[in-house]
Amino acid sequence: MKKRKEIIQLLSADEPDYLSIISKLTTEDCETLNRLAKHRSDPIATRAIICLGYLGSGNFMDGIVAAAKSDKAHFRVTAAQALSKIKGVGSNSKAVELINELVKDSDIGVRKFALRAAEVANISGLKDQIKKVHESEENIHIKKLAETVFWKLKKLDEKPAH
Amino acid sequence: MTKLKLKIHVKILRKPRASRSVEKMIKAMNDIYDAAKIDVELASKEVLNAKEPGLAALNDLDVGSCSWNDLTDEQRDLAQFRTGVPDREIVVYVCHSLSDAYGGCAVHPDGKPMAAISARNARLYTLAHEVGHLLGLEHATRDDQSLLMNASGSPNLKPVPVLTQSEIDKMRKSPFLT
Repeated sequence: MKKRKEIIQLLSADEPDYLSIISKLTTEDCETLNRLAKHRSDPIATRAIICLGYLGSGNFMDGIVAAAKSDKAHFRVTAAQALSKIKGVGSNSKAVELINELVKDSDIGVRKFALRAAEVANISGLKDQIKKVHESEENIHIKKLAETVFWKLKKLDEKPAH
Repeated sequence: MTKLKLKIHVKILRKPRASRSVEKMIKAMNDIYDAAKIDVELASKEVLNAKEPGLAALNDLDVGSCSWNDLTDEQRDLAQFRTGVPDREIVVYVCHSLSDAYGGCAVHPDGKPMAAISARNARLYTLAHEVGHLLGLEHATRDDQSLLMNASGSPNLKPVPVLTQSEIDKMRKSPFLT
């Protein structure tokens, strides 16, 4: 387990090398990362949230959940990205629930990254919500992205059962 | 050393915090680049219409892994917004945020030199650091927090971060300087 100060130093780079950072952390550091996700410095807080995504599992999502519910779009954008990094995100019910909410967000950046997280999650259960996003989306670029993700998820239903 | 000039054009999708205003970041750059006898000029500053559909989708910019072999479609798209900028001059875009909470990223398509910085996560010396990349500098190989090109963080506090002599020699050969 690393000390808080050491983790802050790891998160201080303008261009963080997450693979290198994660290689120095373990799930024991998730408690510290969850606290750092509320750090007064936005760069430190948002990078801690991304790290929680990389290290993520159902037990260590407090920082991501709080970010997803933040009134600051900047944090919700980061939460959407963190969700896309969780291994096996499609089988993490809390993560899927958050993606389902974030694709409806009022902020276009949040919707964009949440749609990408939905694409990574790759589960059919998200397709109805994505279809609604596609139908209501005003921005042509995000609408197109929603359409792409919808068709990808819809294809999952068409795969023959074994 | 003869004095060289570097012209920077800034295009704003999201206004940065007052403590990290474009003017303050340019001043911070000049404090550092003075050692290389490079005079940084804010050649233009334009507030873009971030509600325009094409730009709205780029305000939280996907920079991928911010490496030359991973240039994203969004970086290519953003680089098209350089109206009024001569070919060999640098554009810096201030976006709401960059993916993965990056503070800045200087990867760009050929012939369209640009960097993007985050209005939320950029620090005072981020602009100087990213433009350093555009002038040919790589991250410092030793972990020394006093160096501008340190990979593990662009220092925020005094003393002002410095350039090494080899970095000065390299950046002065950049085609972006006049």
